[in-house]
Amino acid sequence: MLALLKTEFLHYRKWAIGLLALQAMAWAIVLKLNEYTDASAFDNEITQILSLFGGFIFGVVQMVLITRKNHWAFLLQRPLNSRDIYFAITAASTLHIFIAFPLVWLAVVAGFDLFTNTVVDMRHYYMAPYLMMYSVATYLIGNLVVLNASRAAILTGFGLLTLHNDLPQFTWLKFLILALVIIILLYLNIKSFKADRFQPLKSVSGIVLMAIPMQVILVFFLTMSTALFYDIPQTLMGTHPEQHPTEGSFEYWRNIEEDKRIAYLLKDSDMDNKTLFSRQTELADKDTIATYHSAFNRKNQLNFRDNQWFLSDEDSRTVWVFSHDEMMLQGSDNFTGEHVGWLGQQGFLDKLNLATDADRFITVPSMIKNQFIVTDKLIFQVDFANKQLSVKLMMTGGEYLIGRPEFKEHFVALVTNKQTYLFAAQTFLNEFELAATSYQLPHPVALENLSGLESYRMADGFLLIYRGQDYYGFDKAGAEILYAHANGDVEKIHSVRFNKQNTPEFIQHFDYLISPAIYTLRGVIRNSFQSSELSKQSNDAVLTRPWSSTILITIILLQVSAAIVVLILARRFRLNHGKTVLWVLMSLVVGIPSLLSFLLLNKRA
Amino acid sequence: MSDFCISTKNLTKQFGKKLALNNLTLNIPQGGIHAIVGSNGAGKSTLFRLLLGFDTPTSGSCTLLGEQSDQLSARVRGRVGYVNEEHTLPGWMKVAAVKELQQSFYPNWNHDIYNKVIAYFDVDPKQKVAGLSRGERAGFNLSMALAQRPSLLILDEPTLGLDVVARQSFLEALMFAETEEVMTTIYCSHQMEEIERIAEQLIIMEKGRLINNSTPDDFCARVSCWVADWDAIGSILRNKNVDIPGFLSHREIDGQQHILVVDQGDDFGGFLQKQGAHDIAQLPVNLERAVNAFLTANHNKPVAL
Repeated sequence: MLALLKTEFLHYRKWAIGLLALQAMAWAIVLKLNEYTDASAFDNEITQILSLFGGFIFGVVQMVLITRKNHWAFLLQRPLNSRDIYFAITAASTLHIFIAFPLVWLAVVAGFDLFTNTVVDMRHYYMAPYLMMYSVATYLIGNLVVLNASRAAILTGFGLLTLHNDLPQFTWLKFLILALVIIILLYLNIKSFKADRFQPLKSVSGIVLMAIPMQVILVFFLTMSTALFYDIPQTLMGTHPEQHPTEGSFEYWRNIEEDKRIAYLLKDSDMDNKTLFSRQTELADKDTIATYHSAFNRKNQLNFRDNQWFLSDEDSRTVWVFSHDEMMLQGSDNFTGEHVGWLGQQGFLDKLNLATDADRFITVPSMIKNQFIVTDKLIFQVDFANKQLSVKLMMTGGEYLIGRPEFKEHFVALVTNKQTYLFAAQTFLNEFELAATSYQLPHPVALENLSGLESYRMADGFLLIYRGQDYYGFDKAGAEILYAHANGDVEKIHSVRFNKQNTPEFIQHFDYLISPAIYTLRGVIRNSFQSSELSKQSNDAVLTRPWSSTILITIILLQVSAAIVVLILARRFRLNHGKTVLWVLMSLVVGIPSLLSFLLLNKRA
Repeated sequence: MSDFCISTKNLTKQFGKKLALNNLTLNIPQGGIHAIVGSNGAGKSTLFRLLLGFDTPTSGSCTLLGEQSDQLSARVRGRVGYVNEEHTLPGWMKVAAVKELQQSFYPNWNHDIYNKVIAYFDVDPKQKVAGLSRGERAGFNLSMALAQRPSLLILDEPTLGLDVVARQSFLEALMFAETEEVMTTIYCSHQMEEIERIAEQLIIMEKGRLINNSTPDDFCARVSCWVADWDAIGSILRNKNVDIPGFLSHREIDGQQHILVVDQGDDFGGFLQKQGAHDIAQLPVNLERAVNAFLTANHNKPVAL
């Protein structure tokens, strides 16, 4: 086995070294051209893209060459287990991948770490094993596509990789899931690496591991298929609901001219002065405030996820980069790169050894407007001129920011899990002290029911429209107008329920219709892997949606039909009893995607 | 343990609508050189791929050295040498490195055999495999296969595309090894003079079926050539109004009809006489002619002919 490993390594070593040299040259040029080399130089998406496609293409090309008819016989006709042969090849390829992809990254990071004062955290080194694992995963997908009896194995491979791409925000979880993906791919490849590789996998575990990720991707494609059989024909005929929204629907209201929206909402209101009121809003300054969660930086996150991680002071020509290792901002001269001090929660420090625990940030902040340091609980303001740090805002009692502050022309908006705060912009920006709230507006409905918030700046306060497709519950669209008076009082003006649906129910919920199991599974997995505050819909909300009887009956019909078709086909394909039962059960649970995966993974006898 | 190194039972392999093997039942005992012949598409290579587990039968079963072909263990694979017609070897490697690699897998590697067999060919160990001629590659491949000391050696048209000298060297090397080691050799070839020279047993396949499994002499004894003056044969063959028993082929040479038939005794002369033939004589048939007649008898011909 070792001899085979060595041989396979020698086969592609020149290619790997060539790729390493090319990347080293590219890095040398990039670093030469960049006068100011900061941590952002590491955030190179090209490296990731190269790893993704490089690994995949290598995996495909290598296996295509190996599996040529007589080459395949030469490789396998030996006194070795096919598993050992595959391990030898994969181990050699892992070495190639290490040389071709993460090694140059490692060298660049180590170079920065050793020879510059650039902030290099331990987490920057994590990128090397991450790139390594990522490339190995895509390499294994390339192998699987060639080795497996079904070319549709590409759906399985990328279905698994999606799991890693979509979900984890925490570095350790990302590594864990990537490792799991690699183990599954390795298992499937070992099972597929057999003398007659045109035979579908026989083991239950092999079938399930091939089928489920494939079904997840198939759900995506099936959902996209609505464009083919619904959206494109309807658009071509000029009858698409987007072109002609149904009156009385949420979309109809969203599509009417901005100036007329308030009037439309108020048309059934018994307000005395609603016409005057509407006209006032036509003249008011309008703004939209986001009510969705956006991810804050996490401690030791992989650096390509970094977002707004440094402050720059032009007067002192210094840059302050957040160090995850020290949990403080490290200042350095913009031109010389020399250290100029540290900035912690309690203010500026000359030396690192002066820092106490109280100086270190508890969570990783984002930097905004070159003067605010924002975490989900605290907002600090930096006064570089006076070398001062002041607390601008502090959340208490389980309240936290769901996103960063939004700076509008006249006000600053902050949305928390409980309410919306509005501050006078000038005061918020220019006074280095605790911000005084101008308006405090508790959310009228649960945050997950809100899809947006619009503000109209009136003469004596703000008019706010809260809206959502699920404002009054699942599929119960609505909007509510509130008036925040200058004295702080909040008055409810009017609320509207949109009882008509713009899009047919089966199109709107096509992803659920074709496979409730996968729809629910994805929701639950997403919630399990993400930090709870980022969940758009809680598990309870996902699991207890009141679907209409039409949808439910259609689902039952689709799933039972899928199972029956699978049963008939399984007999034609001469599957044994156990496999037939497995596929029929899977189709009963998963529905149409399972039927499609059955067709893609089995051959007619 | 089976006495047969190769055994197939009702082995059938279908590729789409094409039947590559048709209910083939074949048992090859251990020892000796067994030649498999058949026209292109007779199913010989398919049979080898099924035996080595690289394909799965549509129905039926096959075993190799007592193990089911679709579940061959590493141990049995180690006892089987396989040389294909392309002599596929890693072209980017040097000869010595390929030899070293192969040698590492076989604890019983016989250096002596390797050296003696490779000596028949002019192969430089420092040369890259891609730079070897077809004959050199064939010799190198055979040397390695023999040095593994296999219990069963499968040679699938190994001399295809080789010139006379290379073919000669290949056969000499093979026969030398045959005398050195106890093994069963399955030799598939279209070259009748090779078969005639080395085969102890002759297996003929046609359209996926077994049509002969005997010694070459026994096979030759089955085929007889009758020479006669027989003007009516042309119209008989055209009109098919008379059934010529065991008829394989016929040729007209110098005004005389040469008729090849199978499994016919001396009474066939009487049959010819009865049909109006005269000056009848029986001639011996060599293996090549017999096999050719056998294989061409049922070969597809354009309708107009």
